[in-house]
Order: sequence, then structure tokens, then C-alpha cells
Amino acid sequence: MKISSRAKGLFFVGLFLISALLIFLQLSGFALLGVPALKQRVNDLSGTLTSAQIENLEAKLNRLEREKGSQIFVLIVPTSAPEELSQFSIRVAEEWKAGRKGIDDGVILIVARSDRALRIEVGRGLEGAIPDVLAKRIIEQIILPQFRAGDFYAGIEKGINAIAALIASEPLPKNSGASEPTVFIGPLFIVGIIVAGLLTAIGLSSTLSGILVGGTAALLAILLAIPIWFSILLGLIIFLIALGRGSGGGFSRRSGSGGSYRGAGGGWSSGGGFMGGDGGGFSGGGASGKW
Amino acid sequence: MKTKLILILLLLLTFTGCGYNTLQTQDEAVKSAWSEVLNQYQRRSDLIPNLLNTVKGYAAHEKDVLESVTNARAKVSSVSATPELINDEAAFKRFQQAQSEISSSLGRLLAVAENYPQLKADASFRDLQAQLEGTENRITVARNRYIEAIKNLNVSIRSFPSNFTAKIFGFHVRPNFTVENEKALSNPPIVQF
Repeated sequence: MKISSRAKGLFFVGLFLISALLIFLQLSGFALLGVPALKQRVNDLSGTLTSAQIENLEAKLNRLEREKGSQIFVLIVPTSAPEELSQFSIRVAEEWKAGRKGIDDGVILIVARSDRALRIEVGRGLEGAIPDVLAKRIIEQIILPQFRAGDFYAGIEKGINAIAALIASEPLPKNSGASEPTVFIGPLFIVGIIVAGLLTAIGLSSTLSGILVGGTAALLAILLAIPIWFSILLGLIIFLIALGRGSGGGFSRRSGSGGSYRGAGGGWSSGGGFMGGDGGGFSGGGASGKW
Repeated sequence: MKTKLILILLLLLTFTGCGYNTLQTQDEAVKSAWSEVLNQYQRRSDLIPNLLNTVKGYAAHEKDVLESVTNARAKVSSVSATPELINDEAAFKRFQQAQSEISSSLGRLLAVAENYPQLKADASFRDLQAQLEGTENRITVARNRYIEAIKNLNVSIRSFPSNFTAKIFGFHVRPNFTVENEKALSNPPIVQF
């Protein structure tokens, strides 16, 4: 019986998929605990805190970030097994990136309920304000007494107050006036396209208007503290779009596509809510404790 | 004929262009990761004199434990800890061994300290303990990042086509941290009551 080459191919693909699945199942037994997603500042995956308590803490941490720029995040997990809490904690810190990039002013408080262990992971930039000794004191003298009495909310709240007090007395770079420079990208983009289109419509060659508007947009973006590579990219995109419009001829014909650009611009300027970690670095400083 | 020449030129460019810059970046990453490791080991080394003084105040007659820490620390300074260490496999091994001796002697010292409740209650001893724990954690993190950097570099050096570039420019596989006393670790400790 002659087996078609197609059937043979399918057979081998199937074999490969099954063996891949088996290997995956085998390996997943030894998997480390995945780093939980950073959805908000206080992440309670063990049901320890009530939602009112979480809201309270969130408000407090939000205020600190707005006033000082530092980010404190809280994570409560049932266990960090199979790792030690300190190993799990640095993985979380590297993924969540609490604190501002370059300033590294983030702190993460991690509690592993059934392991009865907690850790304060201090960002590189705060190692002067919160040296290991002080972190240990906060744990031993402020947080653990509350935990031992069974009051986890009080422990976490008092601990955060102590950490925030230490951060408050530390001179850190100011938070920039605009909440996020990325808020300007959308409007800048739209205005750039429109101006480029207008210039083309009144007779300027599409290349010239593209270069003019793209260059100005890039310059403005850099002045607004948008990262340089992004500003250049923005300028480039405006330039290319201006070229494209030029070949199509006229502004009026492109009014339909103008709507879709507005949509793309709106998606970027999402100022307000929680934007996650700001890229802060950690090098293993802080302290742990057990109760 | 002309297209063949261009093709060969492009091929050469991809070989050197692709591999070379990556190797340079990763090599620099290894160097900076190594400096961080040295930094943290130095930090631990600097904590030791204070620790010894505090312990001596309460447990002066625990002579051999105190001496073993001092000797281990002296041994480390005899191995010149420079950024060049990662290029010399034998010196790297010696350095790693010296550091692990410090680790074990410190462990013994802290275990002995458990027998002295007054020492344990001493505020400066507690502070030193906190600093030591913090430094040990930083050492672990720095070592892990070094291992990661080494892994990336070694993979580039061994993969095709950057292994050609590596050979041409003299990049060699770097030594990695090994688990010391693997045999001892594989035997579970016997607990007796």
C-alpha cells in the first residue's frame, strides 16, 4: 500500500507535537512559580485583605507615587515554593520593575502566607534611604509583631508607612510635570499629519513638507522628554505618511484615513490609571523575616 | 560574475556584522556583571572586622572560629580580585574557593554565636547580622546575573555563525561558577535527636 507523502508528513508532524506535549508535561512538574501579573499596586493572591483594605493601601501608595515618584508595590502569595522567598522576590522585582528607570526608587513588599515569611525588596536607588539594617528593623519591630498577633492588614499598613517615611526624607529627583510624556505623542502625531497634508495641499512638494513637519515633530517630542529614539521614529513616520499622501494627491481625498489616525492617537494618550512599573532596577538589597 | 562578487561580499558582511557586535555587547555585559560580583564580595569582606570585634566582646575564648574567619579573609586578599580574573580559569577557581571558605567560616561563627544569648541580644550584632544577610543576598543576585551574562556570551561563541567571528577575534568560552562540594551537597544531612 502506497502512503501518500502528504500523509507521511502529517504523521511526523503529529508525532512531533505529541512528543513536544509529553516533554512539556514532564518539565512543567518542575516549573518555578510564575511571577504574578502586576495589575495594581497591591496584589493579594491569598485573600488576606478585604477590598476596602486594599483600596485604602492603593490610595496611600498612589499618593506617594504622585508626590515623590517612588513606587511601592505589595504582593501577597500563599507560598513561594519551590523557591526561597528571596529567590522568588528578586524574580518578581526584575519583572515588575518598580520605581523609575535610572532612579531605581522602587520597593516591593512580598508576603508568603503559608511559608510565614516576608521580604522587603529595596530598589538600587533607595539603598541609602532604606539600608538592609533599617529594612530588617521595620520587619522585626513594626510588621512582625502585628503578623504574630494575626493582624496582617495592620502589619502591612504600618510597614508601608515606615517605608514611605524613609523615602519621604530622601531627596529624590522630582516627578516630571506631565504625568507621562507619552500623553503628547497622540496629539503631536495627528497635528503633524494634518500640517503635512496642508503643506502638500498648498503646493509644497510632499518630500519637503514631510521633512519639515517630521523634523519639527521630532524636535518637539525630544523637548517634551519623549525618548530620543521614539521622537526620531515619530518624525520618520510623519515624513513617510506625508510622502504617501503626496503621491495620492491632495488633502481632501485622505480625510477618511484621517479618522483612523485619530483613533491610533487616542489609544496612546492614556495618562490617568495604573501604568505598571517604571523600569526601576534591583540588586538584591532589603531584608527578610519569618514569623 | 559581478553579482557573485556582491553576493560573497554580502555573505562576509553578514558573518562579521551579525556576530561581532553581539559578541562585543555580551562581552561587556560579562565584564560589568563580574565587577558587580566583586563589588558585593568586597562589601562582605568589609563587614567582617566589625563582626569579629562584636563577637570577641562576648565570646573571646571561641578562638579557633574567630581565627578561621580572619584566615579565610586573608586568603581572599591574597588572590588578586581583578576584572581580569575571568580570563584565567585557574585563578578564578582559586578565588571561588577562597570565597566559599569565608562563607563556611562565617556560617560556623554565626552558629557559635547562637550559644551566647547576650551576644544575640546585642543591637550592633543584630545590625551586623542584618547587613550580612543582605550582602549574602546581593552576592547571590550578582552571581546569578553573572551566570546569565556568561551563558549569553558562551552561547554566542558556540553558535553558528558567530563561532567563526569568535575564533577570528579570539573570544573564548568563559569560566562559570560551579557548585562547590557537589558530592557533599548530594548527601542529605543526617539529623539526630
